[in-house]
Amino acid sequence: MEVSKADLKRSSDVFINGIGVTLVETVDQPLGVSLVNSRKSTKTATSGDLVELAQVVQRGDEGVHSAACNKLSVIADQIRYLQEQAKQVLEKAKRDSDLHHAACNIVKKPGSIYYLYERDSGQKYLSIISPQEWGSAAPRKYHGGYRLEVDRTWTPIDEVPAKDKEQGMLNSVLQLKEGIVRAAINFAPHDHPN
Amino acid sequence: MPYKVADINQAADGRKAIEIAENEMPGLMTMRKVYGPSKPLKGARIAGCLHMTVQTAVLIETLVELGAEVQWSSCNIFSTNDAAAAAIAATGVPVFAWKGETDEEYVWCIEQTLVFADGKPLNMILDDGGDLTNLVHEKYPQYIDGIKGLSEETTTGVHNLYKMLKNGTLKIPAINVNDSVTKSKFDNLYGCRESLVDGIKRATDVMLAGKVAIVAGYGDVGKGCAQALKAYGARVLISEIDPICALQAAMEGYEVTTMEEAVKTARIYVTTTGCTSIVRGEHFEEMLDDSIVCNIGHFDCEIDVDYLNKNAKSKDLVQPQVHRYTMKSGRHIIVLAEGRLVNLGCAHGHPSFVMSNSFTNQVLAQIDLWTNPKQSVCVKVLSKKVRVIFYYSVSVYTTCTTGCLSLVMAYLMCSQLLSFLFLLKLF
Repeated sequence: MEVSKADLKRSSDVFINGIGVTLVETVDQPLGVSLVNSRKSTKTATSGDLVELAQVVQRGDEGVHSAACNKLSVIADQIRYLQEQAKQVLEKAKRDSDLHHAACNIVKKPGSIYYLYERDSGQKYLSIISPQEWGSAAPRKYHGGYRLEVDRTWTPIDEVPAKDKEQGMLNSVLQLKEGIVRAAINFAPHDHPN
Repeated sequence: MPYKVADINQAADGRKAIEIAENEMPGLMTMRKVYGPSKPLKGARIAGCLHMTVQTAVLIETLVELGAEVQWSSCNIFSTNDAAAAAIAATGVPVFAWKGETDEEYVWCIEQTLVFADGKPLNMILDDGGDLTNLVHEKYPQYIDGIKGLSEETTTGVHNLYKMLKNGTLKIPAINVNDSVTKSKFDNLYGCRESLVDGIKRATDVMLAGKVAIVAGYGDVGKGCAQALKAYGARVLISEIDPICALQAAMEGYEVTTMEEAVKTARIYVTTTGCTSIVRGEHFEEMLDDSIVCNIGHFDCEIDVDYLNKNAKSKDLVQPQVHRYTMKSGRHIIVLAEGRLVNLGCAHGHPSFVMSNSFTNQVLAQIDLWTNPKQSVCVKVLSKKVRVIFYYSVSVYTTCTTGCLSLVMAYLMCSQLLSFLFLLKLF
């Protein structure tokens, strides 16, 4: 390890293996006291000291870098997730809209399941008869069954149990909340003047 | 429970409508009282294919009350009353019908009614329009041997039956309910008398009093329509090619004229002939501004709506089933229900009472076919004997329930019974 003499002068920047080590600046008269030989008293003891300092700086850099990377990767994940979610929302909106616009002779009712078929002509249409119920007379192209929800969105039939479970959970939370609110109302002291 | 309806949760609503209809259907309710205890239809597995309406619900429950097992589909993809269908499905009767079926679903629905819960196929057919009859003959011939008879409700189906009989393809004894006097008179004369103006009023809110109306055809439908319009204060013209009907119209005080003459003064056009091309292009071109044109005769062939679609300057939809055409002359023509039956398109079709009469014939036909073992393959109108028994029983029971009207009916029906007994004595 080669440290030039010039580097050891009063300059504050020293490079060890490409890592910059910045020492605190020296002054001629610290606290107004003139030192007998400022060079002597401020000379770096050994070149090893500087290397050690440089290593500390390097470790610090690495640490900061990896910490930042960790944090950034979380954000990147979130961005990817949000992008994915946004994509899903848009795709679902398009599917729902397509389902609403599919040919249908019947007035659709929330809570009912409708099955999407395609005619040979390419026209897609909704039917309340499932492929199993059709039996051998089933239309050739079947694009899945969907349940119409109260908010006019559609749930694919294989997701219906999950949706119901989620809805049940939300309902129980709502009921719980209502219960808490009711309890709070009941508990509140009646501060009417009469 | 096997059924397919639009929404089973509508059952309670349907039940309310059915209960009200029951009081308006004395014929069917009498059948329940007379034949309910003896259950003459026990063992019958009736597949029915007839508009799944509130009135049909009363028919279905009557058949069940008489001991039959029943499965039902509708004979039109748009005519089902979803609430009535739900109410019937909720009682355990397999119903396969909803408003707005596709063509394939329509056939699927009929097919679901062929085999009953115990795996046995149908042994009776109650049809309207002939689709069930044809389906069994063409696609399910294996069931024909087990079927004891079929009763057909309407003109189209009866034509089909006579055609099949002529070609030798009819394999099941059939009863033509359509041409029973108690069906056709009530449907055509009294039914249309009430539902024509109902349709016109719902569609246009026009004042009929003081207007000139032309009724094309003076058969049963024409007689009813002319009477209804006259009762509202319209001046009614009649066009008729049959000299006797034309004379009848004249004797009732109507002016009998031609369509060519009528277009000079008439504002309202009603076709009731059952023939094609009654109101044509040359008439449309001469009509007064905002003339109202509608049909209550045969399907959609009486008014040349195609001419309007091709030659009018524009066509606006005023409300569902009401179109206003602007002609090149600048005058307008209002066409109701696109030239199809105005009482079905713009109103609610026949009232329950009218349906009670035709459906009572259906029940009698089913009993006759089921209990009379020696039926030959033919198409017959309900025998007078059956009708006399019917009249007698109706008269006895309705006298107790519906008062004055029934007394008149009782008188008429007992006189028929007497004439029947007289005939018996002769032979």
